[in-house]
Amino acid sequence: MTDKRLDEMLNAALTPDIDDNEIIVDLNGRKEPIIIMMSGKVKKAAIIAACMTLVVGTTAFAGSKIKYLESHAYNGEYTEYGDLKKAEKKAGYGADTVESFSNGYEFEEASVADTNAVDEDGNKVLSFKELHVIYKNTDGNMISLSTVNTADYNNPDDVEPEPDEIRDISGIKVSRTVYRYLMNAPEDYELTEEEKAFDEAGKLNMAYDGGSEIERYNYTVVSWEKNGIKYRLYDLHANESADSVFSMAKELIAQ
Amino acid sequence: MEKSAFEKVVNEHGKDILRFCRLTAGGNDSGDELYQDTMLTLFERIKKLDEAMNVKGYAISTALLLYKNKKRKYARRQRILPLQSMDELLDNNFEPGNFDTVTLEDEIISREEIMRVRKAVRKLPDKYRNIILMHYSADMSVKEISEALHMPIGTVKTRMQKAREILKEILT
Repeated sequence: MTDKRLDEMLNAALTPDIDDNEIIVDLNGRKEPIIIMMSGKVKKAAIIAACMTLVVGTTAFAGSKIKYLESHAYNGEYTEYGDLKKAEKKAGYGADTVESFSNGYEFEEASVADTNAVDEDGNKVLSFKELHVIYKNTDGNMISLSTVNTADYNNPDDVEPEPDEIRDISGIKVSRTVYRYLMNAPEDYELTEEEKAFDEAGKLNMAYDGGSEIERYNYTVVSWEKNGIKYRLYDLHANESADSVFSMAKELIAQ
Repeated sequence: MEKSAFEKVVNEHGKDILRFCRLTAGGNDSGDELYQDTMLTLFERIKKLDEAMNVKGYAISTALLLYKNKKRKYARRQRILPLQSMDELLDNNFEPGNFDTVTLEDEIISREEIMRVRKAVRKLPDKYRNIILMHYSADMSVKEISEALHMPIGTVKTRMQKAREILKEILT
């Protein structure tokens, strides 16, 4: 094949026409669901995004069986750390945050999510707000902080898997749990021994995005509660060490 | 940034950026969402940019970063149908994540060939595919790609050449 022929093919295939009205930008932003996630045994149809809310199995809550939590937020709602007070006001509660961590992660953006607890019939049985903050380092790695006011949502029946490690930081119990994420496993996929272990421990999350390639990785959640606020730090892809994520928790707790 | 100035950016570069987003995200719905997120980010941050900076290049690199960071969100757009319908679709040669839009402009070559070329591009490793899409779909020069990716021009040329060799192999 000649270079000219390849150019013709690429130009034809990769330059579809775009109408003028297709490039209109909606500056008001849009709400999109960013989170649905589950815990427990292998289940299908989970959706994971960079900033996410944990985690309800099928538990009793206010007389209803909650199937999952569903969160919606504006992406990049607050891009300046100085605007975090506005976010807290919108969320209806304050949370411990920092502008930057000593391990190099810096404030990237924050958002206030409208979260619904949904029962098995798809009914919303509870609605509340959550404050999310995303931190990024110079390598582009992200750590997400998710918070919720226990006065708004506190389900004692939530089943959390056994943490991999617990540390005492200033008298607060901080848990670190490693989960296995498995994307696009086909129906006949057989879990590896390692994945079976994650599954048995309630730490296997399966998701599907329509892709054909199986994707698997481990991610870490560090969680604690202080002054009625539940905090969760998510390390999905950054692969920070245990000491590094615990140090981030420590810096937040110190606020 | 003033809205009028932003509108100028949209009018001058919007089609290239949208085309790139659609081809990068692998579909019109997911690509349109990536485009909106990219342009909103650009609107928020453009006031901080050097006026001499190539705005289109910045937008394209922003789109790439957003796509990388939120891949699942955009990929989820492919999963519109219930899971039980997926087998049916696969039986009918539907390929998840495939480029799915063919317009009148594409009549230069056959629909099959367009799909074949897009599929070949889709198969390229990210580092090659991004450069091909930036060059062809976003109409960026090697120099503009180099600036947008903070990469030496020589590296861009090498990757472009390698990508073309792979595509020739696949498409011949």
